[in-house]
Amino acid sequence: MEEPRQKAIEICSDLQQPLKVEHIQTGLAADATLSFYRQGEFLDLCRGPHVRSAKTIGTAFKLLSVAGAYWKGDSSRQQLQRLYATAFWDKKELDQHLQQLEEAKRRDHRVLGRQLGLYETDDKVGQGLILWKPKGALIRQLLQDFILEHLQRQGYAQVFTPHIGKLELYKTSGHFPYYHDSQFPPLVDRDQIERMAEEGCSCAELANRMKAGQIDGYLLKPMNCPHHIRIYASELHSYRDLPIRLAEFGTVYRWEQSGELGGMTRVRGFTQDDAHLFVTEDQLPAEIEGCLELVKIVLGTLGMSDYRVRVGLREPASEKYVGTAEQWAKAEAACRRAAATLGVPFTEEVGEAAFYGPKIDFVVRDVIGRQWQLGTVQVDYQLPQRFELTYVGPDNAHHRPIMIHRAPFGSMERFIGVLIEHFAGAFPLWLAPEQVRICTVSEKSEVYGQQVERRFREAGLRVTGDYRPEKLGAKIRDSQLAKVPYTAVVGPKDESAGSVSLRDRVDGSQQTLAINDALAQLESEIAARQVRQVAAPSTPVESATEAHEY
Amino acid sequence: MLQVTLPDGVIREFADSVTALEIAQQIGPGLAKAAVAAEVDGRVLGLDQPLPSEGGVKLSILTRKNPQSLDVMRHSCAHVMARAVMRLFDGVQLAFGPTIAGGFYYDFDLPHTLTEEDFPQIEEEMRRLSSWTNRSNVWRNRARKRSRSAATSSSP
Repeated sequence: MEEPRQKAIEICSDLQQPLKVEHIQTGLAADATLSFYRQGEFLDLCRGPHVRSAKTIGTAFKLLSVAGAYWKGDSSRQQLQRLYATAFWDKKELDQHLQQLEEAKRRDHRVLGRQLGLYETDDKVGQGLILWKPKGALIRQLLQDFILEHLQRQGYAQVFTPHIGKLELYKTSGHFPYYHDSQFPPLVDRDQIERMAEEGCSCAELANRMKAGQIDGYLLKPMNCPHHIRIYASELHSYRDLPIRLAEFGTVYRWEQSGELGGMTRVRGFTQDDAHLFVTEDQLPAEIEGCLELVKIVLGTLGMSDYRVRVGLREPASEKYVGTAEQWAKAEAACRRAAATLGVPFTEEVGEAAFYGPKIDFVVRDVIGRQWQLGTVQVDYQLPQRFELTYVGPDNAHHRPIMIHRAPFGSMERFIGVLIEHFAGAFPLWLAPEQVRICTVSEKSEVYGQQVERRFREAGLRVTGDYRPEKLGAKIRDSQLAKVPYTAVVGPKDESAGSVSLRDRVDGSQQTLAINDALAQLESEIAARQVRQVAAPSTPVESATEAHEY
Repeated sequence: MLQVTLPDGVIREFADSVTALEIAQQIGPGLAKAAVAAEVDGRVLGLDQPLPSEGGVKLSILTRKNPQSLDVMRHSCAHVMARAVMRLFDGVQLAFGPTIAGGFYYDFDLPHTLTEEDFPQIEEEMRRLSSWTNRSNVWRNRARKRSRSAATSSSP
């Protein structure tokens, strides 16, 4: 039913609904009439649309959880209680969805990360700052090495740059002030602060001057581009030098509200698999394709071939974009073609481009059907201009290169968080922090067990030994719980035969092998970077295009 | 005169103000029965919402086969949940109840602290609310209020 404003306010007041009244007066201030949802004695302010009868809803719904939430997201207002629930057309779909949620809970990277000793966050260190423990650090290093191997094959050069940069640098790039909300406050020059204190400068004055960028200092870098740009600018370049591809696992820092931090996906400090390419216009299409090719290889190796891309294009009529129409046409065509050659589903989203260029986003679907946004490949016409970058063309004149920014996996933190959930903590052999665990049947086999351990270690495997006087069954179960891919059981028979009994965590199979044969099998699985996963227990339900932003 | 263009290109004209449900009924009783909502010029509307009486619109009837209909159902379900909470607890103030990916939520301000232990009761009430017609709900509600006030002799 529709009611004019004043009547609507009266209705809500009579129902003792002050929050609704407030909303009518503020959020709905422009509306002359307001709609209500009515069911029996129940009247609720609502625009709709609604189903005709409550019977249409059916009974395939479920309450999921309750959480706190601030009225209008304002932490100075009252805390409300938020009831989360879901509903489907039939019970079967509901059950499938609930199963998926259960499975997701089992894979929560925050729980598994702690359980498996991969990483920690610590209040004393600060929220949103990840402490990579040895096992997690190992996985990260192996992934980085793998990515780097491919980068070098594709003609990238690795660079290292500092974690901070002068305020001037970020004024030129535009991060200051445009990126202001996402940045830590500046590291202010010490001498200047002391001088200001002597002058009797108040806190308010200091804050204002900092905000206006009037105080010298440094910024914790929120992005790696300016540093890489300055590396490019440190030499004169000829068109023959291009494309120049600078890569860095660059650690950046961004300010996030403390209420929004969590796990490895909402952090304040993170390391991007970053690279900046400086190319000529003719090189743009091939280079964009090269960036996507790398993603295809890495995701394919990890068994995550279920991904799609979103191409962000500009709004053709809008004035807010930098670069000529011709440049945009070429860049967008290049992005489109590159996305098409990937052979995965892709969508084009008009209006989603940044003001400085079109982009390509990666969204990967994990083994239980959830979608994760990873990173981007971004074409940029703006920064080369702001930094006045050039190269000398075949005509001996100076030309402006185009930049491509790319961090396809987003950050190591986010990517590994996703991998933890995708693998449910059971990483493939080549990535597993602990690859083989020797378990002795009894203390009698300890000496032999340690010999086997030494042989495995010398062969380059990450091996440990469980020589505790526990029952074998318990030791094997512990090994499985720790997600160790192979458990090598050794007993008296193995000692006389020079063998091990290798148990495979993935399919539960068991083989008695001579030590050399066991080593050969494991080494070949590692060298091939094989991914052998147990099939997912539930089939994906949501076909939504919404990706988790966490 | 309203000109309505259907998905198959057919154009129908209506002299009086008409709702999407009435249009569905004209197209066929099967469609009307299966209809959940309607898409009018790209916006999703309820079946009972009156359409403009002049001009032209593109209309398609949404049934369960259309993904948008699930969101409409979920949003109505959110209101049923809100109604259930209001019937079971005192001093409930309602905020917003939007749909989100995979479901919906509703925000409440009430003295009682909701926990998962309250869920079965709320779900039970929701099942009751969504399986009876509106009319009988009004009678049941009055009856329940009467029996409740009779039972609580200690209330002032």
